[in-house]
Amino acid sequence: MISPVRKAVQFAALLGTNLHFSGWVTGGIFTGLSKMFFIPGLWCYSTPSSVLACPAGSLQAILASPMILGALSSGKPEALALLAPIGFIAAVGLSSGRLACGWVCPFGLVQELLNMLPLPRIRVPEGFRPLKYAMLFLFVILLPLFLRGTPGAPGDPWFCKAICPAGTALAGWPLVSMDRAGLFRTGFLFIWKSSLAVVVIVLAASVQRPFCRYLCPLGAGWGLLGKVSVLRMRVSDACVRCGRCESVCPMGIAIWKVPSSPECIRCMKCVGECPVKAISHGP
Amino acid sequence: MGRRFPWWIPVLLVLLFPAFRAATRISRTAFGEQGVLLTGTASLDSLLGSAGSRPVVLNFWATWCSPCVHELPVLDSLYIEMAGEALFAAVSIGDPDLSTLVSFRESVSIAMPVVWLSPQEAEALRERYGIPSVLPVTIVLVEGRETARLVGAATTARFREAIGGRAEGVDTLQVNDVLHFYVVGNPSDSVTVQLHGAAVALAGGENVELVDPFTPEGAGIIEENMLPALDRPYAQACRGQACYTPMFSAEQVFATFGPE
Amino acid sequence: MGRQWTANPPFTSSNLVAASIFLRTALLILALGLTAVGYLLGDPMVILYKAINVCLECIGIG
Repeated sequence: MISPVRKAVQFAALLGTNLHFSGWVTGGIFTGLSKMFFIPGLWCYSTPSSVLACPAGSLQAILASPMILGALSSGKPEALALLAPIGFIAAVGLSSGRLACGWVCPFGLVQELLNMLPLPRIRVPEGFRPLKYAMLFLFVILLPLFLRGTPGAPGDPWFCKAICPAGTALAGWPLVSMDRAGLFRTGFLFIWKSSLAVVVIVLAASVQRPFCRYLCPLGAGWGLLGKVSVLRMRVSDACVRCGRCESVCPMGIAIWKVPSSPECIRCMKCVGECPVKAISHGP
Repeated sequence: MGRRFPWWIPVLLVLLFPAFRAATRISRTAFGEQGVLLTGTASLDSLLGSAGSRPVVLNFWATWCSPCVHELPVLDSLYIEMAGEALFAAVSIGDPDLSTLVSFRESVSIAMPVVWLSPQEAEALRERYGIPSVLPVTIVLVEGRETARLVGAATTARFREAIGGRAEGVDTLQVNDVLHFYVVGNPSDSVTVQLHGAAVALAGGENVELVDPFTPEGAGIIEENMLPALDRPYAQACRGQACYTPMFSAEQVFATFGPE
Repeated sequence: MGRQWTANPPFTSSNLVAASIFLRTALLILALGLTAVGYLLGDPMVILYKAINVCLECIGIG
């Protein structure tokens, strides 16, 4: 029963995040006050229809602001604003790890839909997974904070700028294609990011949720916080090691071995699949 | 290459390419390319803090100051030429709105760092360096100590002397630099007439140019001299290659120069 | 028979379980508190400003 409920929640979240439908016609983005608040998922705030802010994007934007290092050391209000995305990301992760990935994140849903394309399934080595932690600590935190062209100049949101396929596919491509006034001059970065986005999109048809597995900085953070979250996955002693949970897992993990895996997006597919009802989610 | 090979490391190195590319391009803006725009005293100070023992060339300017705008490319080509031997910054201390500077930069490319200051910050900085009411002013600092000061637009040779420590003393406004006015406005407009009257009373008729922006000749003069395009009549006073902020009433003109 | 392979922490005392839940809940409340401080004492306009202007980096231009 969980699957249709989860799909309904995911579509509701996709809709709720994208109420500014006219953006897809005019090529302009939403500018209302709701953009002060975050979506518990990764979804570019420059997506034409988006009415909320991307927590990863906001975190980088604040870390990249010109005087953040000075403000951090002297406790100025600019630095306090940083607590909003940090606290939000922490609160989501401490509630139930990557539950938001499986139930709310619109880009997670997009990947699930892409996975319905009839492309051959492939198996990716496990050694790619730690990449997402580098995305979080390097591209979201360290590079925006410390890579500055001129002292005192703003830095760049490097995950958004050099990596994010969600931003490229759902903000970059539509905005550039609707740019009748010719405001956007595309160059190296656009080609670079577009290539990455194409790789992720094609991969999403063959591998379930490749962005979540290998790239998502929010998923990386929520996975780590999931180790100490209030709600968690549990496997009881009733487990008979049949491996059915592993075969249905969209993240390709063996939950019966590692219930607190940072890869688990708590989609609960395994809960319904378990023949002995050994898997549960709770405090 | 078993299942445990850390594939993420080579992928990460590839993905770092754009950041690496940006890091190696830092401070290598070419002439005609747009450099960085900083805002606020704190940004300026952290820029100054990175100078070390290099000379610092601080150019104080504003978008409404035609000698400043003429001078910027001269200083900018020197900035490119010196390639990091000295630290340059063009500090706008006369544009209350950041948007004025932003739209200025849409048509003019400045490779060296441009700093915008709010009116309060600009006032504080004027006091810090003792900047007079005319612009442009360029000062050269070595380890925080002022070694040269050029008031009014200067030539490449003069800048070289000042940066090289060969410019003795300070350039001040020449007493015999004549005060001259551009009065810009519709000649039948009463404010324009008053501004013109005040300018003639102070500088004499031969040193006042009345420019009607609505005629092709007037527009030509504005374009040629890079006079500010404001939506109301104004008088701009200049002495030699330095100009005062635009004035909007005869009272303001007299308050600045006193009735002669 | 399953005891040697289960991955759950072998909590023996229910007090330990209660303490663990308490600590995890306290962490969550702390995070919610930080969020509130960020919005109330920080400047949420910083977030808004980035979100309402086209993010050139995001779309691959800047």
